[in-house]
Amino acid sequence: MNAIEIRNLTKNYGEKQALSNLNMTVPMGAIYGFIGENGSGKSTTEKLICGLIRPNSGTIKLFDKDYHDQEIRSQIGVLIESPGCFPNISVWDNMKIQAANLGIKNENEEIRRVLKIVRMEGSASNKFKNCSLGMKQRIGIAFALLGNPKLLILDEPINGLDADGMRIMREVLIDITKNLSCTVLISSHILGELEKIATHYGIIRNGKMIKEMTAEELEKECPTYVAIKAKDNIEAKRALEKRYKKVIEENDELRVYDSCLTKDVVSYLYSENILPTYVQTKKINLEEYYINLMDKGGTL
Amino acid sequence: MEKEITLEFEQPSFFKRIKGMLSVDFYRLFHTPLFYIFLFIAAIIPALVSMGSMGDTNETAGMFTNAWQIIAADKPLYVISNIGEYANMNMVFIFGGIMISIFIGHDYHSGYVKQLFTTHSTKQDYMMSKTIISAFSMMCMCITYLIGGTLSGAFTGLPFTINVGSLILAILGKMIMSLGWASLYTFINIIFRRKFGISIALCFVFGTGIPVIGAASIVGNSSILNIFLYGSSVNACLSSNIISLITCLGISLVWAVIYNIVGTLVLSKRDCY
Repeated sequence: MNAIEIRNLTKNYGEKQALSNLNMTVPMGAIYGFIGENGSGKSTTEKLICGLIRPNSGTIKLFDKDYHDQEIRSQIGVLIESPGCFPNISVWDNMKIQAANLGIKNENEEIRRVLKIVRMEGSASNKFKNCSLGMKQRIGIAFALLGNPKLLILDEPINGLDADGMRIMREVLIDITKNLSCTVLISSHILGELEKIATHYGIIRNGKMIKEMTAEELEKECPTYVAIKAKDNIEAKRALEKRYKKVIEENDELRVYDSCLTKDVVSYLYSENILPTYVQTKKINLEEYYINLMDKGGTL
Repeated sequence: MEKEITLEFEQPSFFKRIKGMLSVDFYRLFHTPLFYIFLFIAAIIPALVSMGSMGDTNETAGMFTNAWQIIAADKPLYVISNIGEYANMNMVFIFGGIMISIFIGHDYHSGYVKQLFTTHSTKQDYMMSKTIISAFSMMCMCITYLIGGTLSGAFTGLPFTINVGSLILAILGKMIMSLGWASLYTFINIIFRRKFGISIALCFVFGTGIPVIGAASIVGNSSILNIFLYGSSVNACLSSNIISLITCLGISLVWAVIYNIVGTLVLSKRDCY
C-alpha cells in the first residue's frame, strides 16, 4: 500500500500552470524528500494533498482511498509554511485548540508528550507571537505530531532551526517512521540534512516530477571519486587524462571518476613526477547530484 | 516475504466534528478581548443614542418619548424620517458584522483554516460553526444592549410604560434574527476571505440596512420587505405579536440555511487557502 499516490495532477493558478501531469508515489513508512527549486510546485503539491486547494485534473489517493476521505484526513499532520497558530494566545492554548479540532480526548497528556518531543515544555505558557522563528518551527512540528498521525506533511520544517533543533527533527522523524508506522513527506532546501534521513526522493521541476528514486538508487547514481590537488593542477590533469577516462576540475580540485583506488592514482602521479598536495576519496552527495541534474535540464 | 500492513482509521461523526470545532470557537471567543470590547460597545451605544436625544438640535431633540424605543421602534418603519426611528437594537447587527469579520478574518490571517481544513473538518462544519458562534455573540450583544438601553432610559428619565408581552416578543425577535445575520456575515467573509476590507465594508452596508431602506424608498413601507433580514429585524418592534416572532424565526432560519448551503458550495468549489 502506498501512503500517497498521485496521478496526472494538474493545477493552474489563472493562466499560470503550477503543476503539469505530476505523478508521485510515496510508499508507506517512507521518509520522502521532496526537492525542487523555489516555485517548482512543491508547496502546491502539498497543499493539494492537504485538500487546501483544488486540482484542475488528476487523482490523489492517500492509503488507497480518495484524499477527501474524512477517516484519512484525521490521520494527517501538517506543517505548511508556518503553523496556523493564533499569535495572541499561549503555545499551550494553541495546542489545545488543535487537539480539540482533532478530537483528542486526553489532550493535556498528548500536548505534554509532543511538546516534550520538540523540547518546548518550558515555553508552553509563552504567547505564540513572542516565540522565535526556531521555536515557532518546533511548535509547528509539535502541532503536526498531535494525535500520532499516520502521514506527516512538512514543508520546509528545518528552516530556522538551530543545530539542536535539526538533530531533534531527525530523531523524531526516524523514530515515528520506524516505531509508529508513520509516513513522512518532507520538502527542504537543506539537502545535506535531508540526505541523512530520507529513504525516498522526488525531484520536481517546473511542476513536473523529473525523478523519483529510493535512497539506495541515489547511492548507486552518486559515484565515488578521488579528489586531488597538486601544485600544478593543469599539469596533473593532463597526466591523469592519459590514464583515466573521466577527469574533471571542479572547486580547485581534480576529480577522477573512474573506478580506481586512491593509492593507484597517487602512485601514478608519483610515477609522472607530480606531487599531490591533497588526496581524498569522496562521494557525490545529494546536493551535488541535484545541482548536476538541474544543470542538465532534468536528465543526468 | 514483506508483511502487508493494514491501517485502521476511525470515521469522525458529524456531531464529534462540530462539537470539536464549536468548542474551539467558543474557547477563542471567550479568550479574545474583541468579544468583550464589542459587548461593551453594544452596551454603550444606547447611552450615546439617548444622550443624543437629550440634545437641543432639531434632529435629535425629543427622539424618544418612551425608554423602550431605544430597544425597538413603535411600528415597523422601513422608510425612516428621523434617527430615532432607526437607532435601536438593530444597530447590534452593524457592530456584530464588524466583529464577525475580524473573527473570521483572523482564521485566515493566522493560518488556522489551513490547520483546520487539513484535518477531518468539512467546509459545512466550518460554515455552521462560524454561524453559530457569530449568532451567539450577537445575541450576547443584544443582551448587553438591552441592559445599556434600560439603564440609559432610566438615566434620561423617560417613561417605561409598555405592553410587556410585545416588548419580550420584540427582543426575542431581534435575538432570533441574529442567526440569519450571522449566516449572512459568515457568507460574506467566506466569499471575500482574503479581502478583509471588502468584508467589513459589506457587513457594514448590509448591517445598516441600506439596501432595504433604499428599496423602501421605492416600494414604500411595505411588509414585503420582511423577507429580508433587515426587514424582519425592523418588524420585531414594540407592537410585535406572535406572528412577528414566527416571521422572524422563519426568515432567519431560511436565510441561515440558504447562506450556509451556498457558503459551503463556494468553499468546496474554490481553493480555501
